[in-house]
Amino acid sequence: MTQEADKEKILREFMTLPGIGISKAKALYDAGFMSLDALGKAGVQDITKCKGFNEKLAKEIVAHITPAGQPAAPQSNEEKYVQAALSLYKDGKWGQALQEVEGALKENPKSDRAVLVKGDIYFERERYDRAEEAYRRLVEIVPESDMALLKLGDALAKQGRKFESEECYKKALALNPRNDEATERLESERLKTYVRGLDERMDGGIPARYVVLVAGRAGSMKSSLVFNILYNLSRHERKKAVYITLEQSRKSLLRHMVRLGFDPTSTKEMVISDLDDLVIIDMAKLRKETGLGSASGVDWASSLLTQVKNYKESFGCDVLAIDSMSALYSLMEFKNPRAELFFFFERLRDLGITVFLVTEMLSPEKDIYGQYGVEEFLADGIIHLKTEKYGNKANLFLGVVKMRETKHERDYFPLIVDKDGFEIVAD
Amino acid sequence: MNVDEKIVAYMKPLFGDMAERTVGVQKEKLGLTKGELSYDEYKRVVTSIVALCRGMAGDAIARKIEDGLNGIISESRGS
Repeated sequence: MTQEADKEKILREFMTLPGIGISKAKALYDAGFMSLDALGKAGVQDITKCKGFNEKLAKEIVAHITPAGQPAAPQSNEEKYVQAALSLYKDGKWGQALQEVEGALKENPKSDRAVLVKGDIYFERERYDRAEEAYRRLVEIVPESDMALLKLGDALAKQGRKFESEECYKKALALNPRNDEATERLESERLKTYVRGLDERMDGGIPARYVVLVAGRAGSMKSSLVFNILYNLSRHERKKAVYITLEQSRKSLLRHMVRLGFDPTSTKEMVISDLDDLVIIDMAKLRKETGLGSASGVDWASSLLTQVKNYKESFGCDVLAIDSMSALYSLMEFKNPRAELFFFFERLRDLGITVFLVTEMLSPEKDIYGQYGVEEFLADGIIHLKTEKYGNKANLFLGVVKMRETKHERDYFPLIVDKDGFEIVAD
Repeated sequence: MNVDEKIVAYMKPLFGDMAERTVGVQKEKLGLTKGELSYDEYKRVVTSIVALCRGMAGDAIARKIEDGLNGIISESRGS
């Protein structure tokens, strides 16, 4: 069990006490109380030192935990309902528990404990829309609670609303950077490739924040495949995507994509900031404009990384494509390619975004997925596109050569590209 | 920070380490390399940079950069 899961267990235990909601449970936890037993042993004075606790409440708590010889504190109606709901919920009597919850909410519409129980009941009953409603209310009542945001995120995730759930996990982490569960949820995220038939053969997609090579020889549709991924992620999942082209001009790339059936203007329908969700940056134009080439002494790789880092901080970026590595290499003067590429890949990973590197395979015979032969070891994943001649035709095939932490098939599948997008043909 | 430094800082998200060089190239193209620039001269530099942004990254980014840069030069005129 993670530390956060332990924490949730303790908070829940505290919330069975009269008058203790999320905020007060958290205050007890933050003060170092780790169990009801520890709380019972503490004096009223120690409890009153916690934020939000007066003497009356502290006495009620102590009396509740160690009632022997002490007069039971009178319970409010809200408290009676909440206690009844908790008890019924524990026994699996959800319907009756919900009735008690409603009773508590009539007494106090801002009862976070009642709302939490309501959300949990609906979540367990797989009524995720209702659970979402309850957890949303919980976030309104206790906006400082990372647990409430985590729960809302889970209810949204169960409804397939990935973007919104991730936002909740991110907010939960912002409130509490040590929330391991929120970190875990975000780390288990996978990005779809939007190649029909492929994602289900790859555990649902590419793990987020991976650096992936998309390698192939000339004419194997590498750029188109990567554009397809970014286009669909921004269009359907509202991911902020940046496509950096170092060789082909922005205009030419857009014309080509429109011919393939993409409508770049459609990504504007889902704009989440004042910028398009898919932005194509033409570095070839900047190169021309500044007149800086390989002999200029400019460290283009470092400059590119600074650019993406600044861009991400200013405008947001979830997915990045660099097209192509060969073009980038032509601008770089390596003294020690192995070491320098190692640091380049590490800095890409440090950006905390998913990166696709379009890579030209130069050898006509050998399958070497990068110009320097080390890229395949440094990357987290490799998607290989290859063409094979059958008579007068060159057919396309796609294979996933490597994808860390992913169960994937190693076959090469025929790849079909038509007006409906990309699809692999598999049995 | 002076106006040029502010302009370069604002351009970093799109131009990275090339921001300073880009501003220099635009000034050279416009023949504005000597002395301190007037507001109207800065306005011409901004127009030139925005045109480059439009070609590099499209209208939305260009508009964003234009608004930011115009803000910087207007602020400097007021100070």
